[in-house]
Amino acid sequence: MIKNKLRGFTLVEVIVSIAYFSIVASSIYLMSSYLVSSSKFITKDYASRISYMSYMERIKLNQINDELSDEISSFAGKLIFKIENNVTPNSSIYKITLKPKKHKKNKLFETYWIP
Amino acid sequence: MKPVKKNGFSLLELLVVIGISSIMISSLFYLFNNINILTSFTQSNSSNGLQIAYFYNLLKDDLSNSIPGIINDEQSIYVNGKNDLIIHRAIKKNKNNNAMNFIKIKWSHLNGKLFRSISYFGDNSFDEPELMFDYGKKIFFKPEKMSDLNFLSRDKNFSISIISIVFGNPIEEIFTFKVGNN
Repeated sequence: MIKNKLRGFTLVEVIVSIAYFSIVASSIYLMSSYLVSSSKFITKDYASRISYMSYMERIKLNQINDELSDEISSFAGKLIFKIENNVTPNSSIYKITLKPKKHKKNKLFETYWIP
Repeated sequence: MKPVKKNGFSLLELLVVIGISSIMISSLFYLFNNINILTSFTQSNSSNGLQIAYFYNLLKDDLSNSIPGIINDEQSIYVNGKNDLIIHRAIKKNKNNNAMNFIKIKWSHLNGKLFRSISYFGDNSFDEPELMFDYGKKIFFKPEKMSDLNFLSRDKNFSISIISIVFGNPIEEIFTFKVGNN
């Protein structure tokens, strides 16, 4: 009896090709989502930075307590932060430090104030 | 009689190939369509951020290089009815030497759009306004602090020392700038 020779793919070939295409598709998806999230982050980071700097200019108009927490709305969304007012070696100059709540711990904004 | 060997594809093979190719092509079209949406989203997001960064730094630069006092019988910096911010500033004539030129800048807003126009010294008219930021909602200027310029003249002469630009009603954002060298 002559065996009918089937020229199809083997199970291993099918599994390898499916795995390959799923890796390629997921990497394309990851790349695009990284692109979107990085552009969003850069925009928000810059917008929040200039909002913090503006807030620190405005706060100098009033008497500043030693410590206060505040929140403002900005183009980067709602920003929550803490302000600290410390005396410098020159007693007539104060150092104002803004500590954002959602940023990294080491990300601080500083300015000096002469009442 | 020897049977003739056919080298072509069978109907079943052709149908399977056409079916698989159509699925592949439609999935590719779907992917590229999504990439177009993604690109336009990223572009609009980035351009909005760039617009904010550009106008913020330009306004900061204008206010940092402003000249205090009275220039051409008018205040150096003043807000004209919350709509226009007029700034007299110094600008370098060219990159190679330190010779300065005076120019008058007008920041104005109309229908939620922020414009900047320049008037050169000795010329009373302003150039064509350049669109700086298209916000789409209410914008106004708010002088935060007036300071006495008694170090420049004996007369009482108050000038803006801190100014804010306010976006939206209710307020969405306020950018505050110190006038003079920061």
